[in-house]
Amino acid sequence: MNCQQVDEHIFSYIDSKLAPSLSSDLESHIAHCEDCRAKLDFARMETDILCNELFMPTLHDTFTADVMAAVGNNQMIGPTELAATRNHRAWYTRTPFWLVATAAAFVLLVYTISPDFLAPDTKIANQQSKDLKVAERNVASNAVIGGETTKKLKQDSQNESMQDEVSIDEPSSFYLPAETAIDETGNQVRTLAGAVPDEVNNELMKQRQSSPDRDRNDASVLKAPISSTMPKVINMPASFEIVNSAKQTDGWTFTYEGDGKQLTVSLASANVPMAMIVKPEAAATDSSACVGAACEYVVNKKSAVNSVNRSVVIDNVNYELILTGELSVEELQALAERLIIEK
Amino acid sequence: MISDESLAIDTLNGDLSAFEELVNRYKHRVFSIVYRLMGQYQEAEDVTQEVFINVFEKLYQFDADKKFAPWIYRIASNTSISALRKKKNVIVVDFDEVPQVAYESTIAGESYNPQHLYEREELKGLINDAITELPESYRMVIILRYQMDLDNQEIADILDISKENIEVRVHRARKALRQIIQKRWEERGMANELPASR
Repeated sequence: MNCQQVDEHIFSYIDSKLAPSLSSDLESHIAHCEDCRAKLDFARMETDILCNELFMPTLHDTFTADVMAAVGNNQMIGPTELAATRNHRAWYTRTPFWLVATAAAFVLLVYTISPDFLAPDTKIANQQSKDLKVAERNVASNAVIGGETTKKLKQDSQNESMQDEVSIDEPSSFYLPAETAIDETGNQVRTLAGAVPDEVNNELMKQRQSSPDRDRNDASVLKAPISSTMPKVINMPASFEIVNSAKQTDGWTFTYEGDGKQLTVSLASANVPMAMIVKPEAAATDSSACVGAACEYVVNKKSAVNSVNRSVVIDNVNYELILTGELSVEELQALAERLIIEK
Repeated sequence: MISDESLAIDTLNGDLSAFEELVNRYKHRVFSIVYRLMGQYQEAEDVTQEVFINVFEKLYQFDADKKFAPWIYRIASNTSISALRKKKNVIVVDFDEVPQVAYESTIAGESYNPQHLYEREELKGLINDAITELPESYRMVIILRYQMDLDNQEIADILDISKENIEVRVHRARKALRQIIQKRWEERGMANELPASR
């Protein structure tokens, strides 16, 4: 072994990772080479410092208590809420308030749909006035959820909603479990803000008034109530195929086409509890072929997510989880971790 | 003593005291990884806290048939790197965090030589600083081998690279570290030439 070879193996030798034969060669060389011996001594000193003597400050005494406080009272809620409870604000909780509020209150899930896409429906006409009021109330109620006691209310509403939505069978026409309203310009607007019955909304308002969180302005309070704003399942007719999906600053946009019509779905990524699940019959099993299918799933942390075959069982219905071409498994997982269905 | 893996299962079953025990067992080791990667105390403490919250939330993904330590180190590594990228790799070392040269310390088994001790302490400071200048992949492998004392398979699992590549990466990381040290050593005009420069 020459000096250059010693250089190549010196660290492995010190770390006892060098093959015995090479170690012997190196030792033989060092025995008669003063420079390499000095290099070896120096490398040993470096290693010793790296192992034992690097400066390391200590954590605060309250560290464990801080962590336990963050997780102890917030089991099974989302990371956003957890972050909001922490004593030290993490980098990702420093999102500007206006952005969080906007994402939570207004960018929940917006459908843009051309007027001629909507099939004539006398019910819609009859409900227009009421729907507009409901939609307005939904926006207001986005900011008024808080407290454990609302959960039951939300769950009941969600369970009903889930059953209805899963059982819907309208393959010949586009259906969303959403309300149709008329905007200021007189156009029909289909939102995903599902109708909140007056009694539910009133109850939410009352609970908000008595909630200790009523004065909080953070994201966990502003997060939209699940039952009033988000259907759990969007049944997308098999005739509709996704033609484009793009990551936006704060979410994703999916564009679907079918029957000569186009639909754009905006999905906010932050603070929005929601799910889009493809109907089982529309599901593809090969992720590489999933560009043609919508979309993602979101589950409660308590739900078992099978990341191998990407399926999830909700109310005894097995849903295939479909990736679009834009989302990796990791991104899907990250999405699932951000978004929650409370059951 | 209850194993880490059992504590993880107990936590999943709702036993918060089990999670508290895991926090106590791992907080210093996790912090040492995070601090070396972040290079700044307050951020490191924040990220360490974030690591444990991530661990708590992702515990259902943990395979109890495997070791807990590499799993949590991986989360620590990923969380830190993610935080670093968010702040665009700007490493700020506070002045009050720069290690003080401990002239009074002695090294066991070495004869007392003021010049030698001074240079060793100087070298210690240089290494502390030089680590923060390394690319994060090099920094990580050095932390895992020398600070966490992990074997190649464990490091490979955490970094998600092959076991065979670990030795190569360690060698490159040490070389890169040495280059930074040599440069700083020369800039400080130290009396003795580093043996490694010969």
